[in-house]
Amino acid sequence: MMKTTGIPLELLFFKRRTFYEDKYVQKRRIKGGALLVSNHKSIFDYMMYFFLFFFRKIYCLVAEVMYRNAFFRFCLNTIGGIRVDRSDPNIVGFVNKSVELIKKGKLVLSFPESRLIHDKELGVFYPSYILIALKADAPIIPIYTDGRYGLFKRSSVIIGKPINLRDRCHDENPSAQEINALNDLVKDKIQELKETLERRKRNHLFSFKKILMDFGRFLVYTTLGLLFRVKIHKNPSNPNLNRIQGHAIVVANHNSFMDPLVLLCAYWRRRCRCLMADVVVKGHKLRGFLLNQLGCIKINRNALDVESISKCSKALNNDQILIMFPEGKINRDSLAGSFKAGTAMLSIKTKAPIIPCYVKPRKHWYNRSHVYFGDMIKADRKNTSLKMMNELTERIRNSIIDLEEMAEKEGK
Amino acid sequence: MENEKIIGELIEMFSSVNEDPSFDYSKINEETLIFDDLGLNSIGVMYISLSIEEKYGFTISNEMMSNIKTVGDLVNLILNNKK
Repeated sequence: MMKTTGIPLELLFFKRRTFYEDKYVQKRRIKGGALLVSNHKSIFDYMMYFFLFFFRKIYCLVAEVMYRNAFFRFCLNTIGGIRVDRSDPNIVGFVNKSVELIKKGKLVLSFPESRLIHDKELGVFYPSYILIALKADAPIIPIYTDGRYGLFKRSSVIIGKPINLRDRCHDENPSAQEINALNDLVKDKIQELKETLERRKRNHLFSFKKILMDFGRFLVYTTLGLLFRVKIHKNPSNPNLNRIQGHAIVVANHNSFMDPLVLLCAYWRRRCRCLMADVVVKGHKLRGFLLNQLGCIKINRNALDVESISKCSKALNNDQILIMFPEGKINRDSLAGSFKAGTAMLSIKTKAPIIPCYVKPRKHWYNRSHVYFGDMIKADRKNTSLKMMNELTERIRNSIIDLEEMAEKEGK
Repeated sequence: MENEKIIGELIEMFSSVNEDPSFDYSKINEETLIFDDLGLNSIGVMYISLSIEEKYGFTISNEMMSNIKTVGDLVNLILNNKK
């Protein structure tokens, strides 16, 4: 009743845009009991989540100050507030109540910062919610909201993938150190969601160039899509790599000058940028125009082209997909040649995951194109040395060689 | 004074890409050659140029980069362009 009558308020006041870390893993529809953990930007956060998970009742841990006013007390008791007395060191009451509710299959919302944080950075997380998740044996669903509520503002929220703490802590009575480590893990996750949300919002900004890029995509898919008839060989451990949300570097072997177009067809759902030798783009006027509209970034292979690398970094920071061929040129032989370390450097710098792909060479122009996806590679964020970049490059190369072997086996 | 502060920040960037623990960063001054003395390759230079862009909020063009040989050149570039 309250939710239905509140819809106009939601449309006027929140105007929420919802993003997902991975839509295929966690959507708004949550099954069973779970603990929602969010940052706390505004007193309206609870109301926003109230409408975000429209078909579920949400019980929220609410500070004692909100219960001082009779009207708020009535509202919170009606919609599902769980009173938390922050000055009381005995936390058993609200922890047990929350555990009980989650075990009954309900959703409990917690703001571990326990007060409103108006700074850009996240505040200190208090770890009592970790006890709730461990005792209830329920997943934590991390959420980040930018708290931009108001008549002339628009809020954005991102829902992360669930974190199962029992996979990381098997102890029935975990030590304070273990609880703090889990608390740091969840805080880092919400920080990561904040960065992801900022990138996604930048990608949603209107730009005339994007219309031209979409026109180029339309031309490619309607003409070349029919020619290539790309067959995607999904990775069993992560079948949605060709539908990935967020930024990523797609790395592939380079057997033919058609490879970038094949990969653009494989990623037709997304606006992709492709790194290409400047001689290819500049060589022919019409080809150059089309490649520019498709979002190609030209690079001078014979010089230190920092401008192109800067463009690549900006594209990744704007949540786009970057297609790269680390061999640096067309190589029709096996992948025995060396890979250039630029991919690893960009991945480390922008924190973008790497998706290794293998584009199987076609024997005839009328054959179907086959694209094989390998395991996603994530760079270590802390180690940025050149040695680490070379190791990561070697990992990418080995991953593509494995895919090549797999493709050959399947072909026999 | 500001030059020293920027050199300090650049040393932090160099140390993040240089894996040699025995490298003496205290010897770095404005005359230090980026490629020869610091032993950076093109990838290392690109990493540092991205770090500079991120930290000081300006874009480095290829023309600017071609004129940089020493740490002092890099400091001047930052002083002239930082926002």
